[in-house]
Amino acid sequence: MKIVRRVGLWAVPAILILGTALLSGCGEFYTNTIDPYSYRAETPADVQAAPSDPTVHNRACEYYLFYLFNWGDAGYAKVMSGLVKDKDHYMIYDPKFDQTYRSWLLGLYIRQCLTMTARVGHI
Amino acid sequence: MIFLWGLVVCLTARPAAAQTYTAHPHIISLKTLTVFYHVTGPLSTLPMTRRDLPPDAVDLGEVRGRSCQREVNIPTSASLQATTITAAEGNGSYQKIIEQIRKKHPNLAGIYDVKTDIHNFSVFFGVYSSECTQILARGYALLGAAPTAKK
Repeated sequence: MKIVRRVGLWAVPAILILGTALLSGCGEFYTNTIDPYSYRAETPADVQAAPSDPTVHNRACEYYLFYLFNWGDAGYAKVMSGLVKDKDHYMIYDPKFDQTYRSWLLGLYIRQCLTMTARVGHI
Repeated sequence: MIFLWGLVVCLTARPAAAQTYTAHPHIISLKTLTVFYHVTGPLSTLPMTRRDLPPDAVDLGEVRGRSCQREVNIPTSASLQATTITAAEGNGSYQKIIEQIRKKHPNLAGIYDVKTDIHNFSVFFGVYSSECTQILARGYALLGAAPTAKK
């Protein structure tokens, strides 16, 4: 009986949120995202590329919830940050960017990620 | 029936909107009842890479800039589907950002390794929204001009 009451309490806001989302024509109540726009990547010719250069991976994501809320930083600056400590002597080159989407529960929760694989070379 | 139709529209519209991203002019769009509209946004650029630098270039390190377009939408009725009265203003162009960076680094000759992102912000179903162009790059000065940064 307690479980039914708890489910009932959760169902009310869930229906309200879903109903509002549908009535609003999929508009978003709150959006705060950073999306990638453009980037001309460095190539092996821009650094002193060597076969021993390490390969680095990173991922940056943004999220959608209940068709109403959208937040996260999936931009180029974010996905390329924190990979090189000594930026005056090393640089990321030859990056490959991919986008991944994951959706759960009819799209009530969506995760959109920008993933990067690149190499770090001496400049 | 309307509820089911809305659900179908939402489920089909979301992935389509997310997957059609390409580089395109990022300008706040013109609405039906627009009372004021003066916006500038990024369109295209060919940023330099390290090998494009002139031989006498001096690296200035990481530089960043950000510039925004803003919009206010006032609904004409209580409905969430109501027509809105709109005003949009702002300059989110590459040119504006370069000017900003140049103010911080007076000796800046140019930028390279440029990463451009778009910051989208909106609240209350878009009553207020902004689209900001933000750049993270490396700057360079030409030899002969002291590479100093204004604090």
